Amino acid sequence: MGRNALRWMTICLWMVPALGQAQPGAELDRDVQRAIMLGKAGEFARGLDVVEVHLDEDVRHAEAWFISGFLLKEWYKQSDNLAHRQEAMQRLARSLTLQATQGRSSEWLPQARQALGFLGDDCYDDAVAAVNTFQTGDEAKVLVLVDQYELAVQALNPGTNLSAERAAFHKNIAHAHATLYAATSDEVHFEGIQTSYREAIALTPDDATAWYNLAVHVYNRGVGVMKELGLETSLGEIIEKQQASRAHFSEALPAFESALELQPGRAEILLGLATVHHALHNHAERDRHHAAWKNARGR
Amino acid sequence: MKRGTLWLTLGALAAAFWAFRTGQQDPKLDTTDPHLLTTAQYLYHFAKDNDWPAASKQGPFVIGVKDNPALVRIFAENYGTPPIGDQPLLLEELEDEEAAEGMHIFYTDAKGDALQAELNGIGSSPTLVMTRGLEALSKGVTVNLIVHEGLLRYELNQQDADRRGVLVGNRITSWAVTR
Repeated sequence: MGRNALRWMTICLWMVPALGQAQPGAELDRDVQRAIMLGKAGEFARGLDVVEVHLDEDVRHAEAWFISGFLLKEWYKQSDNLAHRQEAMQRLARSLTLQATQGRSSEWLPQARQALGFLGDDCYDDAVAAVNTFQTGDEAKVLVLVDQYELAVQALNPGTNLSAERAAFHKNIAHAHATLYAATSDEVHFEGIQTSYREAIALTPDDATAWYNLAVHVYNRGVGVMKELGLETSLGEIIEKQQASRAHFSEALPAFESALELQPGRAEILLGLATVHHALHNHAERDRHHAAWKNARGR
Repeated sequence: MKRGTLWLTLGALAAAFWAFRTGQQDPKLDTTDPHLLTTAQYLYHFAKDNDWPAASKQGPFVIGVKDNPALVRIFAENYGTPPIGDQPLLLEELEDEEAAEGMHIFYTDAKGDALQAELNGIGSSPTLVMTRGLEALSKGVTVNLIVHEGLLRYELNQQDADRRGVLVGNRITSWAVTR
């Protein structure tokens, strides 16, 4: 017996006692059963038509939300229509919310939770894949998928803190921008690096690595400006490039300092601080951090 | 799939997943010294934007850099050896007691007595002497790099250039700073 058939049979089984009780709405129970049968036959649109008349805020209709969400999930699996997945998740989440307000369990709840968990994981996988194949302008797409994943997680386990996971996505987007920036030198990607790390830091301000990575990228950009100097560069342009690179060095400094506050003995951060102070002509600070770096490296 | 292979695959997937979640790919700090890039640029401009006596226009144009191999490397890596006018550029790395004789430009980080000894060796030959971070422009030094308003700039000793017969270009003069 295929998994699909087994899934539908499980749904049919809990319908038997539900039909026997036939309350509070026999009409609802009948429509739910019809929708299940139509879904089993692969007629998802018709099944949804039957059950959608019950999609309101009546807590007794939580099950209708579940069935419609379940139908949409199965439809999504056959069609790969992402709109079906999104709508399925919202309806399954609504079914859980409505059921929770009744303060009692129901036979279909495990199925609803499993379906929503499946779709949430599916969104997470898609978000990871979108980061791995990241191109200019893909941020919104990734973040929408993360939002959908969070919707599932919050419906299943209300109050879950997903800051670290969201921050990980921002950091990975930053990394993708860095890869694209290295390949294209397109300023859009340098801005993307900074924005993404700052968003990660806003979610997890204690992340020393995010501060450090931001600092290094900004510092490196300053060096990159100086590397643009060539045989055709005029003396006036040398001054302008120095001013532009100094602005990047000045911006990198507080990010290095924040990283060091969080990880006082980390050698890479101390070297970064020595390097940026050198670039800013702060020789005393450079020497102090350089000595600390040598000390940390020797430990 | 054999069990061992399966576990290896699962392990690799778990590692990739963990790497994704933590975003652990640290960027590498670019340790290229921006001031050496600037210094190399100045060296090139001092070479091409000034005018040397006729006798110095034969053979290669020689820039000698004392005890600073990093500067020589940065110059070579970023700008190669472009000709100066009709003269091929020769960039020489000088160590310890090596003489600066016959150089068009002599760069040194030396200060105090060490610098004075080097200046004595050069005498009044048509060699533009370039230093870095001197408290004041010493006699015999033509160009001194200083930090001015947070930027690496240079001050110019016009009298010394005149004494050596080096005609300083207008652009070089106009971008010089004074203290």
